Amino acid sequence: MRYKIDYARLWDEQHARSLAQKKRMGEDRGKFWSNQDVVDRFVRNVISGDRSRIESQIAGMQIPPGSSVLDIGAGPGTLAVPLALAGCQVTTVEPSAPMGAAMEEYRRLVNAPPIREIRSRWEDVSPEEAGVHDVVVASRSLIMGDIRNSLLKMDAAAKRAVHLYWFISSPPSSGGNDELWPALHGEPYHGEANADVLWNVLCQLGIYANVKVETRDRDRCYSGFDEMREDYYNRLSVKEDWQREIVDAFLLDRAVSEGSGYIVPGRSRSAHIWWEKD
Amino acid sequence: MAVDYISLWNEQREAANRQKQIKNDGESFWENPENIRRFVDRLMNSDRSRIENQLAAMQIPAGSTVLDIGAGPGTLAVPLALAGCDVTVVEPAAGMRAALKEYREMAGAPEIREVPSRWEDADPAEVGVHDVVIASFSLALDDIAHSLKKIDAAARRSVHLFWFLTLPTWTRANLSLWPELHGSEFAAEPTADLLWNCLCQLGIYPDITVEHVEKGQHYPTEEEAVADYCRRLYVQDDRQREIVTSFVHERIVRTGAGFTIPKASKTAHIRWEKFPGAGK
Repeated sequence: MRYKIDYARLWDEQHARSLAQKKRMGEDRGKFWSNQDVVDRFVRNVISGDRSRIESQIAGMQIPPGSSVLDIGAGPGTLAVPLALAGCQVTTVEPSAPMGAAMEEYRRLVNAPPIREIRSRWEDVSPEEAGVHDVVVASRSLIMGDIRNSLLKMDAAAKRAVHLYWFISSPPSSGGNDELWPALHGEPYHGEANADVLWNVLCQLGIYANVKVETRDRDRCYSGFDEMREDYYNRLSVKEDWQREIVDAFLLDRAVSEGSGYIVPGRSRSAHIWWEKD
Repeated sequence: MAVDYISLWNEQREAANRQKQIKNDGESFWENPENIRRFVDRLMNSDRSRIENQLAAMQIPAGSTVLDIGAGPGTLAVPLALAGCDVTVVEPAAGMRAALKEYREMAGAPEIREVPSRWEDADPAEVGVHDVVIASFSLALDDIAHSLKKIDAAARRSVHLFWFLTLPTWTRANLSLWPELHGSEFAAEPTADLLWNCLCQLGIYPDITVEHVEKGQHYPTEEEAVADYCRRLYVQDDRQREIVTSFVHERIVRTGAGFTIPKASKTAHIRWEKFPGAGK
């Protein structure tokens, strides 16, 4: 007999646990992504950070100029702006207004053509609103419930291909969450499900996708020690002084200065999952 | 929470093994001279595009040492030896090894070292370590965690596995006909999705390239097709033969050179490098 595992349910349950934990901490994801400090750091990384990841993503997708592209969870235009600059006709779906403003700033800075914006969560976008595009992209933006319908809606919005990027995290790549969270909050950290679960969900939906696994050193980069510390406090829902001490000790131990900034070394793994429409 | 894919694989393999023992009367499919003959004929005479695609996708440089696990009649091993690789095969079936020798001599390829064993039983010291390890449509392995770790350990640079991602045509025939023929549910081999999950569970996160195969097997006559299906479905009496005959008749299509049963299935090329990120 063939064993049937309901991967979509596994994904949704893990997403629900992660969401519940964040809510208990008084933060939901929307708040994090609209925090101006977070947006500013994202923009700085996009404009002046290490561009090798972005370049290899764009090279890996091989989207011909002139294609229409839907970028879901576009953030500050990390991929959307270079794609527009390369001659694609880009539409973004991004719920955070500060991220949208940041993208607009980035777009003007590099003189890229206009980008159509849908200010919404993907789950809330209707198929009519999303339209149909040659290529659909969702890069590191799969913090989504109802994964089955979210993915089917992406597949339906694509004429030629869909490209997803998502993490396959082993504990060290969660940026210290798995290590620090229990000490800070007295419970295990509940992250989102990994890219391997995502690939299985796709198989379950009858979509057999290609996978390319990328292993690289951590690419979250900070301009100074204080900025790094604030980001960790923010990500780890730190409110008390004793918690700050734990995080500070961790960063003093792990962070290294690189160039003019700081990074926390470690390996991270992510997967490029893509399929072409028949 | 975490799914134990390795146990799932092993359980599915055991069910498939049990079924084969019952229906096979001890004789292996891969030892039957008729099956081997058909295999070699197909290898020599049919469309080579799939083999060429596999070779192109692996990009193995000339001069590499290659270990081919479950090499069969040398489908990949002979072209690789011909292309300048130093090839070792692991192949338990004597008939297959004889066919490989025949093919190799015909093609004028250099010597190929043979380890006459199932992969599960092969001695790592005898097998050695090779630049590249490949296993093409030969992943019906038991004790999968151990078998995969042994594959990984035998490779210096990279590993390439090819396996069915959706069930091949004759297996789908099995799924639909087996209950009617044999009165029980068909136990299929585990597929490439489970294989990839097992590898992830072992901490190896391989790449996957999905191939869409839309090419049926070719038969000179409809009778040959029926005979092949009867063998694969372990048909023993006339009642069963009738069921298979009408199944084949409903699906068979005439082509220029003979007959084919059209199929569309997906296969996966699963690969990993030994030191991901090295040199970055």
